[in-house]
Amino acid sequence: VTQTTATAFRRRLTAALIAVAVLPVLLLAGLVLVRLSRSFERDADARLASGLDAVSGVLDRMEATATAKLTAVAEEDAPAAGRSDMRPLADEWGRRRDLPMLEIVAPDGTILSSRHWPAGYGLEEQDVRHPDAPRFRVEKVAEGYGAVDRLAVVAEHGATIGDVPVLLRGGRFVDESLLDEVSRLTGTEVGISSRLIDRWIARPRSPLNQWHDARSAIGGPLEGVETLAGESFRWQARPLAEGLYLVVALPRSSTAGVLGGIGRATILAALVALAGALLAASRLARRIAAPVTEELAESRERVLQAERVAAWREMARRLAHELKNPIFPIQLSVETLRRVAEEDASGRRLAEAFPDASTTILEELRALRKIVDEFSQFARMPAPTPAAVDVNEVVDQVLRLYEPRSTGVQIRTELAPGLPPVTGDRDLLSRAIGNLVSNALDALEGRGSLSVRTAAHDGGARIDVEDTGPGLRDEQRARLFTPYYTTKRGGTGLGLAIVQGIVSDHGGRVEVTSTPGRGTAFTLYLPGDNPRS
Amino acid sequence: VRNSAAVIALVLALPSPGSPALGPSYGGRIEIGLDAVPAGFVPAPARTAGARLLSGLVHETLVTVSPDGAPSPALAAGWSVTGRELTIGLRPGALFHDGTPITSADVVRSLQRFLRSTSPAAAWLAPHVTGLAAADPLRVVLTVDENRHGVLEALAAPAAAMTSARGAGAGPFVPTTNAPVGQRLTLVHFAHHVRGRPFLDAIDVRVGGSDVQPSATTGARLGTLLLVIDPHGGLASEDARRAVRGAVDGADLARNFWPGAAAAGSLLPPAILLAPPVPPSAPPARGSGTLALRVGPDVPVAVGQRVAALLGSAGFTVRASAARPEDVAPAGGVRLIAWTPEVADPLLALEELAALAPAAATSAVRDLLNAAAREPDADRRHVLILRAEAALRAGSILVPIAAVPVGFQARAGVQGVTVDEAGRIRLEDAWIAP
Repeated sequence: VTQTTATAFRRRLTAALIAVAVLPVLLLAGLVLVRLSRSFERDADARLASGLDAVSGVLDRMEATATAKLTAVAEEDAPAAGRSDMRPLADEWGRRRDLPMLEIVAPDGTILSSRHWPAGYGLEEQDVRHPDAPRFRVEKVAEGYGAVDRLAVVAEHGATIGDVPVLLRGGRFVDESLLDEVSRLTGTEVGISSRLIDRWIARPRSPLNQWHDARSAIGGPLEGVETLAGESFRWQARPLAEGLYLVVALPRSSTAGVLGGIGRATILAALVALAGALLAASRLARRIAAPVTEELAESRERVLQAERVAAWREMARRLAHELKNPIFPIQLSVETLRRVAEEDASGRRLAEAFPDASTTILEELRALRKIVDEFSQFARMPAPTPAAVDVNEVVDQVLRLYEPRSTGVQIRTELAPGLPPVTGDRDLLSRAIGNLVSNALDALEGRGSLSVRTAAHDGGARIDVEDTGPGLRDEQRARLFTPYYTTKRGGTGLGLAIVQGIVSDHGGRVEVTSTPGRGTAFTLYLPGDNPRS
Repeated sequence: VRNSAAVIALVLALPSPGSPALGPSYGGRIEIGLDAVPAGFVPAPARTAGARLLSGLVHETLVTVSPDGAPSPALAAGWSVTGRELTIGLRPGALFHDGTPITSADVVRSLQRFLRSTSPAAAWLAPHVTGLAAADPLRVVLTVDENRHGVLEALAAPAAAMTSARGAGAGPFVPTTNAPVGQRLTLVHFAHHVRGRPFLDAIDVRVGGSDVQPSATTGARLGTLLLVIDPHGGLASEDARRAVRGAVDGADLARNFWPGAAAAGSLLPPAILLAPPVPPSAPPARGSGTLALRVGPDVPVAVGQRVAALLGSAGFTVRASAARPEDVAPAGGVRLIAWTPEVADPLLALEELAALAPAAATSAVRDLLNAAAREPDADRRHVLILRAEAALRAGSILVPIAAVPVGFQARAGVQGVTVDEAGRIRLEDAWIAP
């Protein structure tokens, strides 16, 4: 029992430690993951918005710078130039003022000079602009043997060269290098989608270049998630003009990577906690369970000892009581005889009182012997000597033995024919059944009925001894097999204890059912073979 | 301006021992930058200025064409024509770079290789050659099917250069390796060159150009900026081709984008053929559709961009890209090339040009050129050549834009650099002045 208790204690302790160590880790990690995920999303949105603001600011500054530089060109460079050959002027002024895009345009739209598209000299302008945002123009720019369309942030300024009124237009291209710069600056992928250019304006290896149907996707929600080049991106867009959008995007892999890392760390932590819990449980169980087990054992031992002491005290009390009862009549009879002998010198009265007194003394001495015999039987219960026993025969013998005491009691027997023999000690079984019959006859007090039945049961035998006596209350029934406990006047409380000891030594068991006012039934179950003795 | 191999940077690397006023002097070395050089030195058609320059440094031909258009002896000491036989005599004592004497066997072997080559001059000559043999160690007899003009001139083509049995050339400079080492190639003077030792000691060729900016530009109008229009697809009609032709203003290009160039009315540069002025064409038709424009390697980038812009302005959607020398006009598209004839002879030059156009479009031209080749009278031959040139222009398949210089840029101090009528830059007479 102690070993089982210790094992259970260890299991419960281990489970408790695992629960304490692992569950909080998992719960905390889950909570952290959820909160981090939300935090990352908020952070990503904030970074995207910040990126949009930053790039918008860059574009605003580009326009402001272009305006200032064009003013300088118009007010300082143009008045100093002659009208003879305007063709090289844009390149000359553009270099001086650091304007990569600069053109001088006649009032009729003819290009008089262009830094970024010298081949356009003398030709009509072929550039296009976003009508609702004049600062954004798609300019033809020399590249290779031809020209490509590039988006530029421009400013315009009127001027006079010689006496020819012209329009100065200059600025900077929103090209791959600029977007590469702002992408690095903001830590996002920055791109521009224009309905006037059939490609993304983004740095060369930007995943935005893979977004082929962007124009239809961007215009609506202005934010979302898109898979580009096999990777998921969170993006936000800001309209710069009709059909012109500034887009910033962030790969979700960075946050997913962090979350995944936390998830993996959580699993690792949980595993570590689990291992720690198991280790701690093992050590703690050893440290805690050992004293507890010892304490339980000690406690049980103390209970048993207390029960033994109590039982001995009970036995001493009963023994004293039982001994006291016969002793008093003996003492009284002896004192009566001495007093008569002293008062009657003739001896006649002594002769008359002597038979009664000696009879009383002898009877009480027999009672004393009986008490001593019963205690002696209980203390020196012999070990069973196993042999094949015919239960019906034992029952029949017992009933014949107790027949003289059964006056007024109706005895019924139902002995199962062909009952297989049980392995046991015939004398001990006879005593156990006899005790039950004796108790029943005592309870019936010369009236009612006693039924004794035998039956085959699970390869062995079953013996029912049932009386129609007053029955037992629950508290009486609970203490029925306690040694020295008795409900009979003059009983020793050892009869049923002896029955239980014998049946238990034979590997069987005793059951009792009782209804107050209706009687009590004892059932003995005896196994067919392999007696425990 | 660095515009492919047409502009060659000549960079003075050592101080000159003399002054221009005192005339040339020996010594010194210069560095030139070329966009690319051939993988080897086997004589072959030279389609770019760089290839022509390098070929002229390493190789020598039997004859050259003088500025007046007449053949001039080079490795050949002289020649005689008897009926259908052309007998060429070699200079006694002439040597290859490997020290072996130049013999008639070397000439026969070299000319056989030339006639099998892809040279336009060889393509014209080979069908008419019926015999080629060494008469003795210093005489070679070339027999043709009929006496015709141009046979001797064809032998001035770079691909007709002489080589020894071991492949050595006979030009004024000797390459020190068979191919560039890394990005460099060095050539040293050949003391036994047929016209004497070059003034320069050595020439360093840097492949991919020179990092030293040249400071002077010179040159002559020895090439033609041409539009070669493929008469198929969207340009099948002559109106469409006229739209292309009319969009590109040669005078504008010459004035604003190619210094030294001039508007051209003739397919041949004026140094080869003085053609009568061409009357202005009718206002160009409006173009439409997408047009592929391939720009040849000797065309300055700014010129290519301007032509693309002009075509765009005329209504075409232009997709411009670079072309290799051997590329033809894209289907239904246009090739813009700076063309220099392989041989500075008008008949051979027109034959070379005719090969750029579809045969069906040039059958009349070839008839005229055949007639010119057979014509013994020089004046009548000149008239036939002019008619052939006009016929070649008529279909708006070959469109002359401008007569352009085959120029080079050199640092001040490099003297004596000349360009022959075939656009070959000659450095054997160059020297270094302070």
